[in-house]
Amino acid sequence: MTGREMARLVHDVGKYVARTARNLPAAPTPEMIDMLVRDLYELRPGRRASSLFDELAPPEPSLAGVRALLSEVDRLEPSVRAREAAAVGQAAELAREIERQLRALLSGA
Amino acid sequence: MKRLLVIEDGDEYVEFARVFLRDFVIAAAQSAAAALAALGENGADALLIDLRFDRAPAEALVGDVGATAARLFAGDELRARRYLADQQGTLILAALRSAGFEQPALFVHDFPPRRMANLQKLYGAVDAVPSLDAGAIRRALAGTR
Repeated sequence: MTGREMARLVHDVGKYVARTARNLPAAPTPEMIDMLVRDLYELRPGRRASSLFDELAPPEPSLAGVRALLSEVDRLEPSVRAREAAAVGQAAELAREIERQLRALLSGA
Repeated sequence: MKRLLVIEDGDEYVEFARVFLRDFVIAAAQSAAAALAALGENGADALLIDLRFDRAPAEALVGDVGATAARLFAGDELRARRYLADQQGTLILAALRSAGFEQPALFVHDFPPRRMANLQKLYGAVDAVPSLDAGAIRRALAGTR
Protein backbone atom coordinates (compact mmCIF):
# COMPACT_ATOMS: atom_id res chain seq x y z
CA MET A 1 0.00 0.00 0.00
CA THR A 2 1.39 3.41 -0.90
CA GLY A 3 1.74 6.30 1.54
CA ARG A 4 -0.80 8.19 -0.57
CA GLU A 5 -3.39 5.39 -0.25
CA MET A 6 -2.80 5.20 3.48
CA ALA A 7 -3.05 8.99 3.86
CA ARG A 8 -6.37 8.87 2.01
CA LEU A 9 -7.69 6.22 4.42
CA VAL A 10 -6.63 8.33 7.40
CA HIS A 11 -8.27 11.44 5.93
CA ASP A 12 -11.44 10.00 4.40
CA VAL A 13 -12.20 7.31 6.96
CA GLY A 14 -10.14 7.79 10.14
CA LYS A 15 -10.60 11.52 10.59
CA TYR A 16 -14.34 11.49 9.97
CA VAL A 17 -15.10 8.26 11.83
CA ALA A 18 -13.55 9.81 14.94
CA ARG A 19 -14.97 13.32 14.36
CA THR A 20 -17.62 13.03 17.06
CA ALA A 21 -16.17 10.06 18.95
CA ARG A 22 -13.00 11.81 20.10
CA ASN A 23 -14.97 14.80 21.43
CA LEU A 24 -17.86 12.97 23.06
CA PRO A 25 -18.48 13.91 26.71
CA ALA A 26 -19.56 11.36 29.31
CA ALA A 27 -23.20 12.31 28.79
CA PRO A 28 -23.57 13.14 25.11
CA THR A 29 -26.54 15.15 23.89
CA PRO A 30 -28.95 13.62 21.34
CA GLU A 31 -27.47 16.03 18.77
CA MET A 32 -24.00 14.57 19.39
CA ILE A 33 -25.27 11.00 19.13
CA ASP A 34 -26.98 11.82 15.84
CA MET A 35 -23.67 13.23 14.62
CA LEU A 36 -21.91 10.04 15.70
CA VAL A 37 -24.50 8.05 13.74
CA ARG A 38 -23.70 10.12 10.64
CA ASP A 39 -19.94 9.54 11.12
CA LEU A 40 -20.33 5.78 11.45
CA TYR A 41 -23.26 4.91 9.20
CA GLU A 42 -23.88 7.83 6.86
CA LEU A 43 -20.37 8.93 5.99
CA ARG A 44 -20.36 10.73 2.64
CA PRO A 45 -24.16 10.65 2.64
CA GLY A 46 -25.83 7.33 2.97
CA ARG A 47 -22.72 5.14 3.28
CA ARG A 48 -21.41 3.24 6.21
CA ALA A 49 -17.81 4.05 7.10
CA SER A 50 -17.07 0.35 6.54
CA SER A 51 -18.33 0.61 2.95
CA LEU A 52 -16.15 3.63 2.20
CA PHE A 53 -13.21 1.84 3.80
CA ASP A 54 -13.80 -1.25 1.62
CA GLU A 55 -13.84 0.96 -1.47
CA LEU A 56 -10.60 2.74 -0.62
CA ALA A 57 -8.56 0.05 1.14
CA PRO A 58 -6.49 -2.47 -0.76
CA PRO A 59 -6.96 -6.10 0.39
CA GLU A 60 -3.92 -6.09 2.67
CA PRO A 61 -3.47 -8.18 5.83
CA SER A 62 -2.21 -5.11 7.71
CA LEU A 63 -5.72 -3.63 7.46
CA ALA A 64 -7.52 -6.68 8.86
CA GLY A 65 -7.64 -5.19 12.36
CA VAL A 66 -9.33 -2.02 11.13
CA ARG A 67 -11.80 -4.08 9.07
CA ALA A 68 -12.71 -6.09 12.17
CA LEU A 69 -13.29 -2.91 14.19
CA LEU A 70 -15.53 -1.50 11.46
CA SER A 71 -17.54 -4.74 11.41
CA GLU A 72 -18.01 -4.40 15.14
CA VAL A 73 -19.19 -0.81 14.64
CA ASP A 74 -21.70 -2.05 12.04
CA ARG A 75 -22.96 -4.72 14.42
CA LEU A 76 -23.82 -1.98 16.92
CA GLU A 77 -25.78 0.12 14.43
CA PRO A 78 -29.36 -0.59 15.64
CA SER A 79 -28.42 0.08 19.27
CA VAL A 80 -26.45 3.22 18.47
CA ARG A 81 -29.32 4.54 16.35
CA ALA A 82 -31.59 3.80 19.31
CA ARG A 83 -29.22 5.97 21.41
CA GLU A 84 -28.51 3.17 23.89
CA ALA A 85 -25.82 4.61 26.13
CA ALA A 86 -23.65 1.47 26.36
CA ALA A 87 -23.65 0.96 22.59
CA VAL A 88 -22.92 4.64 21.96
CA GLY A 89 -19.95 4.49 24.32
CA GLN A 90 -18.66 1.27 22.78
CA ALA A 91 -19.05 2.57 19.21
CA ALA A 92 -17.21 5.76 20.12
CA GLU A 93 -14.36 3.77 21.63
CA LEU A 94 -14.15 1.61 18.50
CA ALA A 95 -14.15 4.72 16.30
CA ARG A 96 -11.27 6.25 18.25
CA GLU A 97 -9.37 2.98 17.94
CA ILE A 98 -9.99 2.87 14.18
CA GLU A 99 -8.47 6.32 13.79
CA ARG A 100 -5.56 5.39 16.07
CA GLN A 101 -4.78 2.22 14.12
CA LEU A 102 -5.00 3.94 10.73
CA ARG A 103 -2.72 6.70 11.95
CA ALA A 104 -0.22 4.13 13.27
CA LEU A 105 -0.25 2.36 9.89
CA LEU A 106 0.34 5.71 8.17
CA SER A 107 3.40 6.37 10.33
CA GLY A 108 4.79 3.02 9.24
CA ALA A 109 3.84 3.41 5.55
CA MET B 1 -17.06 35.79 20.84
CA LYS B 2 -14.37 35.15 18.25
CA ARG B 3 -15.56 34.51 14.72
CA LEU B 4 -14.25 31.36 12.96
CA LEU B 5 -14.61 30.99 9.20
CA VAL B 6 -14.69 27.30 8.19
CA ILE B 7 -13.69 26.62 4.60
CA GLU B 8 -14.41 23.13 3.21
CA ASP B 9 -16.14 21.42 0.31
CA GLY B 10 -18.65 19.53 2.47
CA ASP B 11 -20.27 20.33 5.80
CA GLU B 12 -18.44 17.99 8.19
CA TYR B 13 -16.16 20.63 9.70
CA VAL B 14 -18.95 23.18 10.07
CA GLU B 15 -21.23 20.67 11.73
CA PHE B 16 -18.39 19.66 14.06
CA ALA B 17 -17.56 23.29 14.89
CA ARG B 18 -21.18 24.23 15.60
CA VAL B 19 -21.46 21.39 18.13
CA PHE B 20 -17.99 21.28 19.70
CA LEU B 21 -16.62 24.82 19.27
CA ARG B 22 -19.52 26.69 20.77
CA ASP B 23 -17.20 29.38 22.10
CA PHE B 24 -16.79 30.62 18.50
CA VAL B 25 -19.28 32.18 16.13
CA ILE B 26 -19.09 29.85 13.12
CA ALA B 27 -19.34 31.00 9.51
CA ALA B 28 -18.89 28.76 6.48
CA ALA B 29 -17.58 28.99 2.92
CA GLN B 30 -17.21 26.22 0.32
CA SER B 31 -14.79 27.90 -2.08
CA ALA B 32 -12.15 30.62 -2.28
CA ALA B 33 -14.68 32.99 -3.82
CA ALA B 34 -17.16 32.40 -1.03
CA ALA B 35 -14.41 32.78 1.60
CA LEU B 36 -13.27 36.08 0.09
CA ALA B 37 -16.86 37.32 0.08
CA ALA B 38 -17.44 36.21 3.68
CA LEU B 39 -14.24 37.83 4.91
CA GLY B 40 -14.97 41.01 2.98
CA GLU B 41 -18.46 41.20 4.39
CA ASN B 42 -18.11 40.09 8.02
CA GLY B 43 -14.43 39.42 8.64
CA ALA B 44 -13.21 36.59 10.89
CA ASP B 45 -10.73 36.12 13.71
CA ALA B 46 -9.44 32.79 12.44
CA LEU B 47 -9.78 30.30 9.58
CA LEU B 48 -10.33 26.54 9.79
CA ILE B 49 -9.54 25.07 6.38
CA ASP B 50 -9.93 21.60 4.92
CA LEU B 51 -7.07 20.54 2.69
CA ARG B 52 -8.71 18.26 0.13
CA PHE B 53 -11.67 19.49 -1.91
CA ASP B 54 -12.44 16.34 -3.89
CA ARG B 55 -16.18 17.04 -3.93
CA ALA B 56 -15.93 20.58 -5.30
CA PRO B 57 -16.77 21.16 -8.97
CA ALA B 58 -13.72 21.96 -11.13
CA GLU B 59 -14.95 25.50 -11.77
CA ALA B 60 -14.97 26.22 -8.02
CA LEU B 61 -11.32 25.24 -7.56
CA VAL B 62 -8.47 27.72 -7.30
CA GLY B 63 -6.03 26.89 -10.10
CA ASP B 64 -6.29 26.31 -13.81
CA VAL B 65 -6.71 22.61 -14.65
CA GLY B 66 -5.46 22.99 -18.23
CA ALA B 67 -2.41 25.05 -17.27
CA THR B 68 -1.58 22.71 -14.37
CA ALA B 69 -1.93 19.69 -16.65
CA ALA B 70 0.43 21.24 -19.19
CA ARG B 71 2.94 22.36 -16.56
CA LEU B 72 3.07 19.28 -14.34
CA PHE B 73 1.30 16.29 -15.89
CA ALA B 74 2.10 16.17 -19.60
CA GLY B 75 -1.40 17.37 -20.44
CA ASP B 76 -3.24 14.85 -18.24
CA GLU B 77 -6.19 16.93 -17.00
CA LEU B 78 -7.55 14.20 -14.74
CA ARG B 79 -4.33 14.14 -12.72
CA ALA B 80 -4.19 17.93 -12.71
CA ARG B 81 -7.76 18.13 -11.39
CA ARG B 82 -6.90 15.64 -8.65
CA TYR B 83 -3.71 17.54 -7.79
CA LEU B 84 -5.59 20.85 -7.46
CA ALA B 85 -8.29 19.22 -5.33
CA ASP B 86 -5.68 17.58 -3.08
CA GLN B 87 -3.92 20.94 -2.46
CA GLN B 88 -6.99 23.14 -2.56
CA GLY B 89 -6.91 24.29 1.07
CA THR B 90 -3.42 25.73 0.67
CA LEU B 91 -4.34 27.31 -2.68
CA ILE B 92 -7.35 28.96 -1.05
CA LEU B 93 -5.14 30.23 1.77
CA ALA B 94 -2.73 31.67 -0.82
CA ALA B 95 -5.66 33.46 -2.49
CA LEU B 96 -6.82 34.88 0.83
CA ARG B 97 -3.33 36.06 1.73
CA SER B 98 -2.97 37.68 -1.71
CA ALA B 99 -6.20 39.56 -1.06
CA GLY B 100 -4.77 40.88 2.22
CA PHE B 101 -6.52 38.57 4.71
CA GLU B 102 -3.92 37.63 7.33
CA GLN B 103 -6.07 35.78 9.87
CA PRO B 104 -4.47 32.78 11.60
CA ALA B 105 -5.27 29.63 9.62
CA LEU B 106 -5.58 26.09 10.88
CA PHE B 107 -5.65 22.85 8.87
CA VAL B 108 -6.79 19.48 10.19
CA HIS B 109 -4.11 17.43 8.52
CA ASP B 110 -0.84 15.59 9.17
CA PHE B 111 1.63 17.80 7.37
CA PRO B 112 5.24 16.60 7.40
CA PRO B 113 7.33 19.10 9.43
CA ARG B 114 9.13 20.44 6.36
CA ARG B 115 5.88 21.14 4.56
CA MET B 116 4.45 22.84 7.65
CA ALA B 117 7.54 25.03 7.91
CA ASN B 118 7.19 25.93 4.25
CA LEU B 119 3.51 26.84 4.69
CA GLN B 120 4.41 29.07 7.64
CA LYS B 121 7.16 30.73 5.63
CA LEU B 122 4.76 31.40 2.76
CA TYR B 123 1.60 32.28 4.66
CA GLY B 124 2.58 33.43 8.16
CA ALA B 125 0.20 32.35 10.92
CA VAL B 126 -0.59 28.78 9.87
CA ASP B 127 -0.80 25.68 12.00
CA ALA B 128 -2.24 22.18 11.76
CA VAL B 129 -3.72 19.56 14.04
CA PRO B 130 -3.98 15.92 12.96
CA SER B 131 -7.57 15.25 14.07
CA LEU B 132 -10.92 16.90 14.55
CA ASP B 133 -10.16 17.34 18.23
CA ALA B 134 -11.96 20.37 19.68
CA GLY B 135 -9.44 20.86 22.49
CA ALA B 136 -6.45 20.68 20.17
CA ILE B 137 -8.12 23.03 17.69
CA ARG B 138 -8.88 25.55 20.43
CA ARG B 139 -5.29 25.40 21.70
CA ALA B 140 -3.85 25.72 18.20
CA LEU B 141 -6.06 28.71 17.39
CA ALA B 142 -5.01 30.36 20.64
CA GLY B 143 -1.37 29.73 19.74
CA THR B 144 -1.57 31.19 16.24
CA ARG B 145 -3.29 34.39 17.30
